[in-house]
Amino acid sequence: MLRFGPPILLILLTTSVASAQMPDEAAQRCTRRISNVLGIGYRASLTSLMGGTPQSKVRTWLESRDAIATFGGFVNSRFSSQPGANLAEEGIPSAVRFIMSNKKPWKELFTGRFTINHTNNIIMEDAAAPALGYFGSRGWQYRYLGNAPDGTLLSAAYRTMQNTIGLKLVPSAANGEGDASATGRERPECRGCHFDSPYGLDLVARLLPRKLGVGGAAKPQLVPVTPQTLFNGLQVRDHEHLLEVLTSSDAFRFRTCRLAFEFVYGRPESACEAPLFDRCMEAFTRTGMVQDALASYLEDPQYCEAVP
Amino acid sequence: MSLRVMLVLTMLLGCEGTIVVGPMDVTGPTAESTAQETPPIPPLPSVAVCMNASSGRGYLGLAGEPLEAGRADVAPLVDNHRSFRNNKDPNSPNWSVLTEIARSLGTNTTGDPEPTNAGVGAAFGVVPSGWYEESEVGAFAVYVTIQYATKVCERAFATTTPSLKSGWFEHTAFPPTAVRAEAFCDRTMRAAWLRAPNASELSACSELALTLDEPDVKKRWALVCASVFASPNFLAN
Repeated sequence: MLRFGPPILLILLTTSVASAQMPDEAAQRCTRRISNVLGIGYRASLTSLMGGTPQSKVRTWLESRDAIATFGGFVNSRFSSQPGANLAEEGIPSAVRFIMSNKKPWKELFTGRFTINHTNNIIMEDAAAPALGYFGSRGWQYRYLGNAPDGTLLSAAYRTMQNTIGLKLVPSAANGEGDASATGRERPECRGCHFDSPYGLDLVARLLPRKLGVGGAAKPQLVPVTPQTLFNGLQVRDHEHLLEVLTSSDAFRFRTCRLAFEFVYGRPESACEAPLFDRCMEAFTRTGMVQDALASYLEDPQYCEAVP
Repeated sequence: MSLRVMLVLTMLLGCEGTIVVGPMDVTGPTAESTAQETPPIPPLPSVAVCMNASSGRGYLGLAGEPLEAGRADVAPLVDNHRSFRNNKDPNSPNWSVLTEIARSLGTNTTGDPEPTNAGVGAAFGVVPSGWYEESEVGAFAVYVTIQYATKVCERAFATTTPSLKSGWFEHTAFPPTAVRAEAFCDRTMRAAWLRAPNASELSACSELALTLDEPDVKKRWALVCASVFASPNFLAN
């Protein structure tokens, strides 16, 4: 026995070192899956396991610059109709980075007091800025000035609700007269979305700045606003109050958890996945952090087990 | 490699495989006051149906509409695969899919132009900065994968370094036999897919090794190896 002792010991040591260096197949597969979703590089993720499980590293990976950049791009692609035409129109990914890197509540993306420099997208906290998140940035407001002849920011009103609570509206194909004026929007085929709905676009737009000027000279201009009755009877005072109402709602939390689900799974949740979704709602309601919404899915034991 | 060979390879190893928080709180009472004064609100029943039963909690939109309406009634976690995103490694010029092929085989990409070629990387779709799109594993992406994998597999067969995981040289110097093909396929699939293949996957791979119309023995093994990487089992996570 003594004669075979040293080689056996050597084999055991070698095996032990090898297993410490290389996680098992399931851990590698799980790491590949999570790193693919987060866009953080599989090889580096594998190295960073350091003997831990992939799902125990989710929080760390979510803090990485690459994961935040990937999620920022994802959010931008869901909040905007297309990539921005210039740097000034690409404030959303920077704002997401600002919120996530500084561990701020997700709500502050839409209600935070900060400014975005439209020449370089550098974000600075500014206690004097209105509590409008990136909606208050010059780049975003110029992008969604829209084309209503009376200067109503209909496009911005829609994007505000689409971004925060996931509202989906489809422009009417029945606008045969081509009259997009305030009078034209009162027509029966238009007024459902513009005036009569609890989410009436024109009513919401009355709380926003207005477009002044035409063509390249057009710009957003703050104007006095009057309170509007929205969302089945709620009086909304102004732009800031509108965003506070939107981001204090279940609809906002639901939107955020669906957004996170789509990022993690590439599709919306099914009815049978409701318990998983409900756990996200619990986590996000408790902390208000989008990282917790994402982690509720990525850390779920089924997330990696479901891979064949 | 002819187009016909690639088509056969691809086909053979192809796809098998509440919190209802209650009334809206705009003014924001403190958590303490809420806990003391308000009894817990029972969760709303969901209008979404899973297998003929209400599933999960219900949530109301600002106008009182059920937010969970419209959820599909399909089994949970069945549509889980995501295409391998061919990201450019921020710390190197490498693209992830191609680099991972070499890593899976225990070799490296040194000297290969493909993993640093932006055109090849773009075979999986180009996403503008600050934007996001799902990776596209279309015909060109599969073509690029199989071409590059063939090259890396051939190189791996010629290597006997300790870092090489699979001992390819044990098999690839000889024409395929049933036993040899199964052993080769099992090792290659595990290296690429990070899991053991099932019987039908193993059988399809072995059959390919035994029937492939390629006189060069090394090339023949390399094509079998490449087909494993061109499979959705590698190209989707």
